[in-house]
Order: sequence, then C-alpha cells, then structure tokens
Amino acid sequence: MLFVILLLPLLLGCICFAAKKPLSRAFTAFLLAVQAAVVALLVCTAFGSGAAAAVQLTDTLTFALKADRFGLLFCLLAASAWLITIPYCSVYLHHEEKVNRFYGFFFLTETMVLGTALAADLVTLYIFYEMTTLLSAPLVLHAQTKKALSGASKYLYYSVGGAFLVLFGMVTLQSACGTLTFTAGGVLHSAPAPLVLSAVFCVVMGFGSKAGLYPLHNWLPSAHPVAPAPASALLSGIIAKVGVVGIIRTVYFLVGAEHLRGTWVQYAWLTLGMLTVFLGSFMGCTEKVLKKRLAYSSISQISYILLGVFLLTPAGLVGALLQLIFHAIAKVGMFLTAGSVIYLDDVTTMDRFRGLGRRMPVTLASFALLSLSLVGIPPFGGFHSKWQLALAGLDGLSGAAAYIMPAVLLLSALMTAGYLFPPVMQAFFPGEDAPKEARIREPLALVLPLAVLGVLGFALGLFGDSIVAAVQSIVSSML
Amino acid sequence: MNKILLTLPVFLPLVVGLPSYFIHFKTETARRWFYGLLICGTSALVWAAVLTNNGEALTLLRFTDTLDITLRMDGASRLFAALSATLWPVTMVYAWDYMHHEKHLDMFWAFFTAAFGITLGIAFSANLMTMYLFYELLTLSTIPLVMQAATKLAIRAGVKYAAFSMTGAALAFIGLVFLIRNDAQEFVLGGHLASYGGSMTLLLTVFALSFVGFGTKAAIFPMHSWLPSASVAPTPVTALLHAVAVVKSGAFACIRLVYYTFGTELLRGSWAQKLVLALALITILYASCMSIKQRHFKRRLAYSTISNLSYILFAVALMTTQALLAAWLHLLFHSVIKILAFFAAGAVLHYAKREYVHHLEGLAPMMPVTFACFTVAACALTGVPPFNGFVSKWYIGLAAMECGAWGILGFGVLLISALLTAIYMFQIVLHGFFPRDDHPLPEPGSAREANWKMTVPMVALAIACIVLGIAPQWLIDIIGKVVGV
Repeated sequence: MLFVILLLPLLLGCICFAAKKPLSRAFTAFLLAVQAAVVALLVCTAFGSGAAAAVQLTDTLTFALKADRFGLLFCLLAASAWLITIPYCSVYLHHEEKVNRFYGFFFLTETMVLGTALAADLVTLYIFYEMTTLLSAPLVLHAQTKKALSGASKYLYYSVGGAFLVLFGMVTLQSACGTLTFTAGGVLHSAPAPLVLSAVFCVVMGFGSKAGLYPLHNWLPSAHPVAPAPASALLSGIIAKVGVVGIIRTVYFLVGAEHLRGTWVQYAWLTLGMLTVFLGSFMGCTEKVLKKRLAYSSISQISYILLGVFLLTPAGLVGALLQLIFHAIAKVGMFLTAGSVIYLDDVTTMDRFRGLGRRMPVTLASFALLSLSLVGIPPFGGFHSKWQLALAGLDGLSGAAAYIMPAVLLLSALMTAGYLFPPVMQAFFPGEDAPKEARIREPLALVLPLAVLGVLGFALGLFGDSIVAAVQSIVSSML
Repeated sequence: MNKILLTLPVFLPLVVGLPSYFIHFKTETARRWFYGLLICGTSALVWAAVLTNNGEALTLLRFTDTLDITLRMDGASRLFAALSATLWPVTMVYAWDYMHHEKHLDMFWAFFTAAFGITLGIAFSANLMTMYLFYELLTLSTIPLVMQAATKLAIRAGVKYAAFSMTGAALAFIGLVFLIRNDAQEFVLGGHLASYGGSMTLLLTVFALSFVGFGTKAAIFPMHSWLPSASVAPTPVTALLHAVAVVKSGAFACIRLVYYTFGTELLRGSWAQKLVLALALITILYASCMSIKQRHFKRRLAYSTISNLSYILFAVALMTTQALLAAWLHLLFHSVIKILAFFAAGAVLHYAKREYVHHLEGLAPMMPVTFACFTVAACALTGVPPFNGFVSKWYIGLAAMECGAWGILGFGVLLISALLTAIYMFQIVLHGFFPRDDHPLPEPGSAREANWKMTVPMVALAIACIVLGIAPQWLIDIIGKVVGV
C-alpha cells in the first residue's frame, strides 16, 4: 500500500518527461486525478493499520516504510500542497520553457518527500532526504540563468553538506543505539554519553540546514527568487519541512526527548532557533525583492516550528505541528501569489505593490488573508499555532528563560506585520495621487488555489480548537 | 590443476603478451581476436582459480631457504584477482574503440596485456619478496603505457611516474629487508611479529617508511603528484591505472603490509599508526580541494582518485578487522565507480573532443548515455544512497567510530571530502544537463554519442553501482570471511 503511494507520483514524474502537451486541459486533469488518488490513498491509510514494509540491504542498513500518525499528517499536507499547485502550474508554466522537465522533477520530488515522512528508520529517511535534494535542485535552476544556477548550486551543496553532517551523527547513533528504527518515545534507555549528544547535535544541525536554521540558512534567500513560483512555494512550504521531519524523527523517535531536556544541545538549539526567528523577520523587513522577502519570512517561520520541537515538551510539539500546518498553507499561498503578480504584471519588487489591489483584487485579497494568518491575528489559523508556541515557551523553560521565547515570538510577529501589512495596505489603499490602472484578468486556475488557501487559513482558524485537539492526540501517539 | 590455475593466469599474459609486440597484425580484427582471446581467456582462468583453488602454495624459484618466489591464493588474493579479472576485459572492449585512431598500438596492447599478468602476480604472491618483484615489474610495464602518446608531456609524465615509483620501491625495500631478517615476510593474517623482541623504534620506523613506499603507488601524500601528471595517458590506461592495476596494487600492498606481515597487534596505538593516519587524512583533504581547482576533466578525476585511495588507506591504518572490511569494500566499489567516471571522460574526449570541464555546457543531450552514466558515477562517488559509494562510506564510518579520537576525526575529514566531491562531480553533471542560458550551445555536429564498445561497458558498470548499492550483503559476507570477522 505504501509502495503504491510512492509509486504513483514516481510514475507521474516519468510520464511527464515524455508528455506531448503538458499544459493542455486534458493532461492537467489527468495529473489532478492521479494526485487526488494519492491524497485519497493517504486518507485510507490513516484509517487502516500502520502498514509496514521492510527490505534488509545489509545487516546494518534497512529500507523500511511505516505510516504512523505523524508521518501521515505530513504526507497529507504535502500531497494536498502538490494537488493545489497543479492547476496553478497549468497556467503559470506558460511563462517558462521545458515544461516537461519541470513537471517531471516536480513529481519525482513529491515521491521523495512522501518517502521521507513514511520512512521507518533513519537510513531510509536519509535515502529519501538525499534524493529529495537531488531531484528538487533542477526545479530551482529551471530558468538556467546565471543566478538560477548559482542559487541551485548553493541549495544543493548546503543540503548535501547538511546530509553529510547527518551521516556523521547517524553512524555514531548506530553504534550507540544499536538500531536506527523509529520508535515512539525513543530508543535510548539511559542518559546518552557526550559523544551521543554531539552526534544528535550534528544530526539536527544537518537536517536544520534544509530547514533554514542559522547558520546554515543562507541558501534560502538565494534559491527562492530564482526558482519558478510553484517550485518556490513547495520548497518553502513542504520541502524545507523535510528537514523538520528529520529533526522530529531523530529527537522524538530515536533518542527520546527526555534524554535531551536540559542538556547543552537543547540550549544551543533554542538559542539558534530564536536567533533564526529574529534574523529572518528582521531581514525580511528591509528586503525589496518580493520573493526574497518571503524567503526570509520562511527562514523565520520555519524556526518557529523548530523552537516548538526544541522545547522538548508535548505542548511545544503541539505548537510545532500546528505551525507546520498553518505555515505550509500560508507560505504555499504567498509564494503562489508572488508568482501570480509576476506572471500577470511582472511585479517582482515591493515598490510596485502600490495600487495592485485595484488591478488584481482576488490575488491581493488572498495575499491579505494569508498575511493575517502568517502574522498570527485571531481568528486566523496562524494565531492558534503561535499562541500554543508562546504558551509552551512559558511552561517549557524555567525562570527568566521562560519569558525569552514568547518575547522573541512577539517581536518577530511585529516584524512580520511590518513586512507584510504595509504592502497590502499600499495595494488596496494607494492614495489619491495613484494612477488609475485597469483591472487585469486573473485566470481562474491561477487564482483559485490562492483563494482556497487564503480561505482555508481563515476557516481552519475558526475551528482552531478542534484542530488543536486533533494535533494533541497525534502528539500523544508520538511520545 | 591447482598449480596450473595459479601460474597460468600470471604467466600467460606475460609470455604471450610481451612478445606479441613483434607480431604484425594484418587487420585490426585479427588483433582484436588475438588480445580478446588472450585477456578473456586469462580472466576465465582467474575465475576458475578463485572458485576452485585450495590454498596450496607453489614455489617457482628458491634462492635460499628463506628467499623464494612463491604463489598462493588466500582470501585477499581472490578478491583482488577477481576485481582485476572482471575489469580488464571491460577495459579491453572500451580500448578497442578508444585506441582505434592512436599510434603505437603494438606497444599499447603488449604492455596492457603484460600488466594484467603482473597484477595477478601481485594478487597471488605468497610473501613480500614475490610481491615486491611483481610490484617492480608493474612499474616497468606501465611506464610505456603512460608514455603512449609519445609527446613531450607524455614522456615527462612517464619519467615522473618512474621516478616516484622507484623511490617508493626503495622505501618499500627497507621494509622487505627488515621482514626477511625477522622471518616475517610470509603472508599470514595477523602477521608474524608477535614474538618480536628487538627495538620497537626500528620496527615502527621501518613500517612507516615502507607504508609510504608501497603507498606511493596508492598516491599517499607526499608521493602523489605522479598521478595527475599520468592522466595524459590514453583513457583506457588512466582508467585501468587509476582503478585497478597500479593504484589498487598500492592499496593491496599496504593491506598486506599492515595485516599480513607486521600485524596490527604491534602497530595499533603507536606513533607510526598515527603518522600514517595523518598522512592519509592530509591526502584526503588536500586532493579533494585540488580536484575542485582542476578544470581539466581527467586531472580532476585523477585528484579525486588520490583522495579516494586515501579513504582506503585511512581504513587500513585504523587497524581493526571491521576497518579492513570497510577498506576492502571501498577498494572494490571505488574501482568500479572510478573506472566508470574515467570511461565517461574518455568518451567525451573521444567523441566530443572536449577536455575541459567548462566546455561541457549543454553537452548532455548530445551524449545522453555517457552523461547519464557519469551522473551515476557522481552520485556513487559522493556517497548518495542507494548507490554503492554510500555503503562503503557507511562501513568506513562504522569502523572509524570504534577507533577513538583519530577515527572520529578521520570520518569527519572523510565527510568534508565527500561534500567537496559533491561539488566537483555535480558541477560537471550540472554543466552537461543544465547549461547557462547565455552560453552558446554546442554546435550540432561537434559531438555524438559514443560507440557501443564504450557505452555497453559504461552502462554495465553503472548498473553494477546501483545493484551493489541495493544488495551488497553477499559481498560483505565474502569479505567478512576473508578478513576474519
């Protein structure tokens, strides 16, 4: 069953390389149908058993898949993101050449991303992690300009370097834990030796490279502006989260959170996480290029998730998973919006936002809804995640340190508002002296995904309590 | 039968191959049949020997009661011989196409075949004296191969190679004398020197010198610079030199030195071990950095070889059984990967007339099979799972982590080198498949895909990389028996 879920996007990718008319209605419908099938299969698996499949490569290397609740949550998120991007691609990619190649790597990457979440042990996860990097790099360099190639190279080598950092820790963990299979609550029975702590640190830093953790975050601002918008959307929205999956699996399913609480690694991680949150929002405020601004925003927002994870408490993990969901919705939507404004009116910088709301009302309205969620204004979804994170921060640490994290989150939220609200205001309220420009036709396939995501951020926020409860039950299955 | 299968593979290529220099072949086909039968026949004999040999020794020449030339197959012999016997015919097929337009083909084929026999002699040696003899012969038989092109550059490269190899042999000779003196030159797993009562300083110094001596062929720092110069040789020569014959003989000799004559008991923990580890690590890092700097395709791969050989030497120098297993894995896997990479470079050289990395922009659509195979080699060399390079790195890592601070440091250095490998290998892949939009694409007639004689070996090797990456356990078990796990 799990193999089928992985096989479908793989086949889709191979078919795309050979497709005759990739942007035709028929082909888009075909892609939508198969992708919907993937989502449906994932939902079915959620109700069935945690189907497992294992192949022994050598006595220490296994390839095994397992669908537990956390894995399925991520897979559903990923598959849905891919689903919603397909209609957008069918319009946006008229802007690009070599559409076959883009679609091909697009779906191959999906296979690898799903595999990361379905991996039953660290070796399998590592295999899918490396393949994700290799297969998503062609998406980033698609335009093949000098900047695109250098951005993609940076992405490639930061991720591959991170992977080798993971490998370093992984080998130690294999010797220390005896196994690398994921078990809820962790595998270690006693306090880890200093070497094991260092190994876990290396692993988390390695995966953190993909998740944009300082100081390995630098690939994000280079890779996002040059990638085609659907690729940037999924890169920030899902692919970077693959690093988060790796970290969660290592911390909660291999080593065990209670062994790491209070150690130097936890303090190091929390410090780096808070630094990243602050740095990302700060850089976003001064950045003029829209996609780069959103890239810095991602750096900051993904580290919200990591902070929740690094608190090593159930409440922290709840906040982290909520942020995972809501940030994915918001960021995918925002990057798609950025792509829309580029596609429709060649708007790449913030100064051209003036009056954009009059010209592309649906697009900018979606952007506005998504911004509200990202900043964390109630009752939008983003509020719930940030609220949970702040509460967890207060409870998770002791003494004065307890106040640092909520303070950093608040500061970051203010800065996020600072870099998102002014453009939105300018777009809808440009002032008396702004030139009156005609409305631009917004293709349905292009704006429907944006609108859906924008409304979703709001609607899910209304049902926030149920979502929080659902996430809490998932978290309890992980500990 | 045993004796025949032991001597024939070694001497047939020598006795028939060397004098074949004087044969005047009427047609190219006749030449191909001759050498095809000779080399494939020898390979078949080797495989028969590997599978049926009973481990009996055969003394060919006895000088004194302690000095003799003896052949014998043990587990290590089997592994090395099997590797050579598999890759020599593959390279021969490749060379049929590649060497088609070269000159001095009679010299090439004669020494190419002779080197095969000599490499098998190194594999089948039962003591250090025999191995030393064949080692020197290998140098002599490969010098003409390096100088094949007969240009000034080639001759200089050959002389450099000769000078370095002779120096290495001189250093190794010190080790040979010491071991003979102490009655320890016979190859036995674990060595003979357990009852050694003499000066430890002498033993360790001799060991260090002879390791660097034998390691010259394995391009250990500071005896490495002959290898990049030798990349002026025709690609079948560099592929074979850099994958099987010369460099892996060097690694093989170091294995024999550490595990089969001196023995790890005496050496573990000593300053000599640390020195050798340090040299290996320096080589790994230095050579990887130099690779990135190189813009010449084959020189880049040459430095890459230097670096990867020291992965093997690092594992050998760790001096545990697990480490030896890992060293063998990388020895075998790297041979396959590197020969594939060189074949691709040679195909590009031959069919697209391009030598430099920055000239490869956009070449992949014109040579898809070549570049696809090179991509496999790049992923395998970097150590991306599920290719074989990942498995050998994994095992080196597992072994290194058991060996204290040096092991951990070493594995860290190895992984830094792996990142550098990704950079210098993937750059070529990216250039080929994703050229910059402001670069002129290669002209339509300027390149075409290689002939089947090149693509079939490449595809076979690429498949081997994948299969060995997905299902390596059978090989690990075989090596485990060889090293005594």
